Amino acid sequence: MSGHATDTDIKEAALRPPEQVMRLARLGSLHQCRLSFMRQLTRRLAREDWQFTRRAFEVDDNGVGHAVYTATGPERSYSLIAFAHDLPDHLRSDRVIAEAWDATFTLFDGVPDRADIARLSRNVPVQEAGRISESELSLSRANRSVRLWTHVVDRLSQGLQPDPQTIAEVGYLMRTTAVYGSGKFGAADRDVIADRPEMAAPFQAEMLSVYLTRWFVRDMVEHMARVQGGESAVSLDPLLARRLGIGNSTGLGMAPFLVNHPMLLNNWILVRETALARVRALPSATTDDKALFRDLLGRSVTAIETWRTEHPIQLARLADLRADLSRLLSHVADGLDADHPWDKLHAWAEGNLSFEGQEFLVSLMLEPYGDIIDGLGPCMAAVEQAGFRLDGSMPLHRVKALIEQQFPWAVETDWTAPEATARAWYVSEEKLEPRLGERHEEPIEPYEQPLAPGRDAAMLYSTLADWPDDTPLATFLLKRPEHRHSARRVQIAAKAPFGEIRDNTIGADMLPIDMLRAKLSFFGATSFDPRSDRWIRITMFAGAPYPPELTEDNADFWVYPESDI
Amino acid sequence: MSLSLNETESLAKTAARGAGLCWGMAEEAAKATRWLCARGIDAGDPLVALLFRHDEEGHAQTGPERLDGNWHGAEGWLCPVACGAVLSDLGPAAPMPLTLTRVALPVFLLPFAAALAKDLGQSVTLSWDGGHAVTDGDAVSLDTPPPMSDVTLTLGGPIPARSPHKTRAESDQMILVSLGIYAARTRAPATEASRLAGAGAGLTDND
Repeated sequence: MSGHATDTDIKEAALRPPEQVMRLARLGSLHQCRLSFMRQLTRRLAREDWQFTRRAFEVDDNGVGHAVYTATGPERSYSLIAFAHDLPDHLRSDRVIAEAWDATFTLFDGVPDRADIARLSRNVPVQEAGRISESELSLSRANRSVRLWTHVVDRLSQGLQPDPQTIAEVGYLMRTTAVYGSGKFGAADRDVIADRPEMAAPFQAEMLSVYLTRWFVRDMVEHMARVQGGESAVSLDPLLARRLGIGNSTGLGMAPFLVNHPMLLNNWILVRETALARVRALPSATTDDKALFRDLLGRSVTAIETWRTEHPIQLARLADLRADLSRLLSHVADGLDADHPWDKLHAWAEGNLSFEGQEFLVSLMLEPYGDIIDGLGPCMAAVEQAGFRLDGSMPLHRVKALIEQQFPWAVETDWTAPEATARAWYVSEEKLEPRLGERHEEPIEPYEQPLAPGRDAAMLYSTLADWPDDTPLATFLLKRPEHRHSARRVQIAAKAPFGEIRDNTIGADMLPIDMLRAKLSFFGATSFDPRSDRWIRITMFAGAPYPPELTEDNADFWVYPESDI
Repeated sequence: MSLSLNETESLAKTAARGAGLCWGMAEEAAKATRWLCARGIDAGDPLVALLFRHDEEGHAQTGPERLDGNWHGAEGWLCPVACGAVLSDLGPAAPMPLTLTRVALPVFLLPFAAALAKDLGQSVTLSWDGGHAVTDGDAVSLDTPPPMSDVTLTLGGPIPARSPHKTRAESDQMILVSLGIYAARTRAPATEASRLAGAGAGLTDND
């Protein structure tokens, strides 16, 4: 389908309600699926037979220099320009407040010439302190995993392959931190590329940059092994290389993004829920569908065995997930023959599995049905502008009714209780880092960002009680402009009900990692490893073929490792 | 310096908030700034002037006191963003013709007048002493407006010539510095506690 995600066929599907889906505990249990942005990317690149070239690799014996990797599709080329640096160990940090990295990157729109590279070499290595232009689509950086990098360089330089167990324990050679796109630091706005078919789905430029970064990282580690070992050095075994993803270390910045883009979040969730509804509506499953499902389930069990974390919350969730998968394995061993088998399986899961297991199953159930699901991919994009303008003619009784429908939990919350407003989101002077503080203990309230739509809707609701019901919203907002952002939000929620998190985003018990996890799952991340309640590491593209190896046969299910590697 | 429109909008919103506008009105100021920049109209300079005025004079009621055909501000002047927001909210119900007395930086009325023109399917003309502007909802023709003026809005007017939208905003360094000063007011000074706990990196991140 080519239209927007609110097309009739979506409306008609029996969707799980937003009250069920949009809770933080469930959003924090989401997993990648075939609609994830990484998988949309690799399928398209293979289907359209994109060609990949390493145009330059000018890196010296100290690991300093640049490289250019170009992806060419039916209409356009995109090039990753990578700058490699010699970073002293004590400067290596994943925090936004870092000022130097092992490698820095930009995705160039087209093929760069010498002048482009010279210009970018002065700006990309300093990241936020530099400026890029409309020719660039992303800006990012990565640090080595000290643990794995040294091991792999040492082994390869001695003519040996790295230890598979050590590779499994870390999962990546370099870890990206921020991957900036969409107009940041001077880059092209999303509007500039949104009409291109290959960029229609969300975050395709960012995902392409990370996919090409993974290729660069493999070349870099082999280069450094050759520098160290000379003639005796060997290349990385392709099967081991394929297991390596790119790490990502993400802090709080992603959480405000979800709250600030309700139309976009709505479309992500609405599309996944629509896909689920289509699969649940199938009266039966073919032998092939069932075989694929069981195969991928088995492969998932293997994959999830390798996930590592030390965080107590995630350790418990991971234990739940493993138990869920084992329960699921025995449940489907001879099931799936009933009428509407997927709907029945889904209902069983709701009564028997944790949120982790339920959401894992939702993602897995979609796998056999690319033919009825994949066309929804581009519908996950959104024009945030579409919800911006207020309908000022709406009478206040209608505004109240919308708040009651979309924010019932917020209307019922006692906002005078200190724990209900325990936190405040703010931006630090220091490198503009988004942070979360304790409102009642730190002097941050004057700097609070508007990231508590529930509280604000409840404040609006209580103010409306003093106004006549038939007053138009325009008249109210003229006198009470401080409620304007909230009134806008309420009207957006009515149009985009899956865009609103139905939990308190400033409560004492809120876990920011739930928001980070939700967003990262749509990217296609795996191996969730929270480092605190507001900081998470994940892996991207682990198991994926490298660009030159990409074919239609391996472009889709790479996220589920084959048992023989 | 060449800014993306997202950067421009984001800076305008933060600066407007820093100058004391509420969040919803800061969003309107930022969208209006973006709209003007996309049409090649310098919005940075008038935005600084507008925010300076808000900052100096406080931000009590800067919209119209009554919604008849003659809008006056309680403080003796009207904010174009506050008036524009009302105009946009009223849509086709907005009184026409409409006179605004002493409106500051009237160029900021244009994006909102454009929304109205789209609603009504006809051009809207803004007239002031010595000049006028016309928009059909997308394109715009514009004489340089004064920093403060009475403005009359009427329906109709010649359809302006169309030109491709700009995707960048060229901004003077001094304007960016001025907006940056307002924007900085929205940011909390770092403390050691917030540096450690606020972003939550917690454990070592060099492994």
